[in-house]
Amino acid sequence: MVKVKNLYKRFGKVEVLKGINLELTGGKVSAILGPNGSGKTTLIKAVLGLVIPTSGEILVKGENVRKSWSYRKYIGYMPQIAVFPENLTLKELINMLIDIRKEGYNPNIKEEIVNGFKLEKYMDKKLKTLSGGTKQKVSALITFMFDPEIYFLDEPTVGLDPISSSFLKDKIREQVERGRLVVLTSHIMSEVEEIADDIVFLLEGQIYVQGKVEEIIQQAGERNLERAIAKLMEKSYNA
Amino acid sequence: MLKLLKYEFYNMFRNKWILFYFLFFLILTSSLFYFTKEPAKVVATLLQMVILVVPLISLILGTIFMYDSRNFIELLLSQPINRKSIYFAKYLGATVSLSAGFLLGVLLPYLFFLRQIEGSAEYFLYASLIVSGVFMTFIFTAFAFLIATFFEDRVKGFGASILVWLYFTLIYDGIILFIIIYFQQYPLEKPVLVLSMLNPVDIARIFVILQLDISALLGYTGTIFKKFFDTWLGMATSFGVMVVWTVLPLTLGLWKFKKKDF
Amino acid sequence: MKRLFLLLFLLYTAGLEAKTITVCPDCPINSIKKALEQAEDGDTILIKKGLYREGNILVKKSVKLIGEGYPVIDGEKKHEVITVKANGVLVKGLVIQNSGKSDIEDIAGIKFFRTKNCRIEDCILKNNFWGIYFAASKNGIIKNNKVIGPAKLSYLKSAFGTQIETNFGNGIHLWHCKDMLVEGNHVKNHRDGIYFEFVKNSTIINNLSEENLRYGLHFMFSHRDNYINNTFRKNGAGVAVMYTKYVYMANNRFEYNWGAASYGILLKEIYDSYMFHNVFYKNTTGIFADNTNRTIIEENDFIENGWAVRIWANSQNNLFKHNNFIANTFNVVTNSFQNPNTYTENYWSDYKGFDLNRDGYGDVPYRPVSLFGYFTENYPQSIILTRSFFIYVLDLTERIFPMLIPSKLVDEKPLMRKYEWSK
Repeated sequence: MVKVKNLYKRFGKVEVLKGINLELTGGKVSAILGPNGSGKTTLIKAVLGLVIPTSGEILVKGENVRKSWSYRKYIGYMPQIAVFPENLTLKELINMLIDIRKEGYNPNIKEEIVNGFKLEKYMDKKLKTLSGGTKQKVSALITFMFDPEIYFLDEPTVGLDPISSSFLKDKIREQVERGRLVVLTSHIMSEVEEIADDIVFLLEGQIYVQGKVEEIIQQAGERNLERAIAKLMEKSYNA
Repeated sequence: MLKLLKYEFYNMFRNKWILFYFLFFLILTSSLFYFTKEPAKVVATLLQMVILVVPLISLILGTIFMYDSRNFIELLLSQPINRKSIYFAKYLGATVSLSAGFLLGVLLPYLFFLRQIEGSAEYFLYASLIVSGVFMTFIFTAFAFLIATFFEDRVKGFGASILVWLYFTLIYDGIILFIIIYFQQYPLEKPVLVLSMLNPVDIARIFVILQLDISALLGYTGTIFKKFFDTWLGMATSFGVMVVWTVLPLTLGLWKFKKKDF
Repeated sequence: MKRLFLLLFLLYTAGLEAKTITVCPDCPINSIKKALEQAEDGDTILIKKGLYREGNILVKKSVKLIGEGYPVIDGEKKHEVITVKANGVLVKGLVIQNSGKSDIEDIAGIKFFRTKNCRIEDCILKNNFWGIYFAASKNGIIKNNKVIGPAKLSYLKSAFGTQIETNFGNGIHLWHCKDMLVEGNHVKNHRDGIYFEFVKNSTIINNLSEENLRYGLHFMFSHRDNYINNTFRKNGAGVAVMYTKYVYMANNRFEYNWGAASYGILLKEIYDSYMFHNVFYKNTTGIFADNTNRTIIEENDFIENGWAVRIWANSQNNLFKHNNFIANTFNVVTNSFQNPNTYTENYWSDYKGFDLNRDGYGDVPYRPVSLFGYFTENYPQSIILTRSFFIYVLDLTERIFPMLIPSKLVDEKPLMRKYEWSK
């Protein structure tokens, strides 16, 4: 569903992505991992069109994303930090997004998530009054309610209480079972191990390791993903 | 874009800065009218506001709005909307709200005191003041957006805003005066006219002084200015220059915004 | 009481001795000239409504020329319409129009030459080269006349300078006169509205002089005259008074005199004069003082002028007191670095000081001369920067560290409130 060909991105003097080639298909959760500054967020943003690549090609459902914006109707994006116009109420924000996006909006999903996160009572509150965790829930809500085919979730469970966190993870798994593609980043390896199928490990702007979660653990000869990744990173530091 | 704009307004009209801005002009204008009852004198004071405070506030609030909504712009950009619509919606949301704050702030007291006014009601003078103020808002908010798009760093952005403000309100006129003094042996009326036409703040100012200080302007070389600005050509040119000063930073900002990495 | 009646009766019958000659187009006496031939000193010539074209009418007898229903005496653009060369002549209720024009002679609608005790009142003068002209006369009265000339202000654009001098004459023109009264006249569209040369001990009161090509009022060498309650409005060059001592000007209005060389009043070589309760409103320059000395300018209003007062270095020992300076672009400008004049207890509307001891005077002296005023004197184009923030900052700096403007030119006791003088 998402195809990245030879992607380069340079910010001034710093080359952040150095020739990424990647193909992600539906029905899977792919986790993009890597140390800080390895280019995870840049890669996601490049697919979203937030970052304009220096060179290379990105295809979403076969459509080249350069100079196009309509392809984003297939995508749901949950940013790392959710910031909203502070003087709108939650209801207005939801209506606004429905207004401008329309496509894919599914009121049932919306209801389900509102109930799951218990957001009903915040509907008429101004967004600036909401706590960080609640904003994160709002962010998830507006991502999922359009029932997109592709999800980009940047640290989705940060700030969520265990109940909400599990609820969100359930939702993620549910999407994959429906053949959707979920791409996420996370620092919590247990979480990645729990919900991800594939892993793309980035290092200094390149794909260092790519594969199924179990394979990576096996190859590293470790008990769990956290240790496997730690080992990978250590290796990279030594290299 | 219109849908975006609608919610931009929802957001802006509840913004405390916009409210303060409106109240500032409301209270200022009301007290001026309360004390003098003469529109010409009120305009004299309001002119200083229009050429100093309106550009400054438009620049500062414009950059604040843009920086503050940076993350939300990211969210919007991940939606199927093109960048142009987002930029225009943001710009119009900010500039129309600021203009409305200014416009209502200076207009309501005028209408309220209209019956008690002493002397001429000065409709044209007051209208030129309001039009100038609205243009100042459009122009300097466009500059604010341009600056906020160019500079990732807030501190740099505010620095640039203050510089732009100083340039248009202070430095530019200093340069004109320098030219007048330095080239005094040459016939300077036309060059000076053209130079002042190139600065939107000067146009706003000249439109008001043409009515407030007409006695002085009619001495010496002032007649040439009056003759120019009093014609339809002069009016249209001034209007055109104002529009150009709005469009220029706006398109430059948009061009940058389209290429920007978030 | 009885004696008084008797006296009145005697006076009345004495008057009866003089006869009245009636002139009308259909009467036996159908021309003014015929009437004048028959008249004797003290007679009245009653002129009925009609048009009289008689060339130049020369009056050499002490008669009263009285019009009924405004008869029109027409000079057909060839003649001086009426010339008076006798004493005690009264001219009343006539329309005098279309005098001739000459490059050599001052041809007038009506000219009084070497007369005493002559009066002209309630007359309308239209389209004459010169209007009412008194030369070498004494004790004359010019009252309630309307003097409208052919010189429209729009001619100014094409004909400033030499052509004005030769193409148009003055409205009310007095030359070498004494003890005259000019009262309640309306003068419009002449070269100078009211012109005096060598006119002494006279009073000019309640006149309106407007839209004249050059000066609304123009006098020279005319000492000890009083100018009271007159209005001078929209004259091409305002009002100019020169080479004169002991002028008394009170309650006059000088307004809308617009242009580079236009003044509310230009005072050139004026000495020991007094200006009181005058209003200067919307003039390019309110008062322009060039070599004016020992003159007191007291309780006047200067409102919305470009330059309220321009005063040259050669003007000394003048006093400005209790004047109101309101919303002028510039209050005082001078080319001097000294201050040979006194400014005290005036109200300056842009004074920003405080009055902490509540004595009605600002605690900080006011400086009426601004740096920007200095700039506009030397670099006229800089007027375009009026009300610029840059100019404001410049003026402020100069006020704190004076370098270019006379530091001694201050009003030590600026009034906190407008000085109220009853109008």
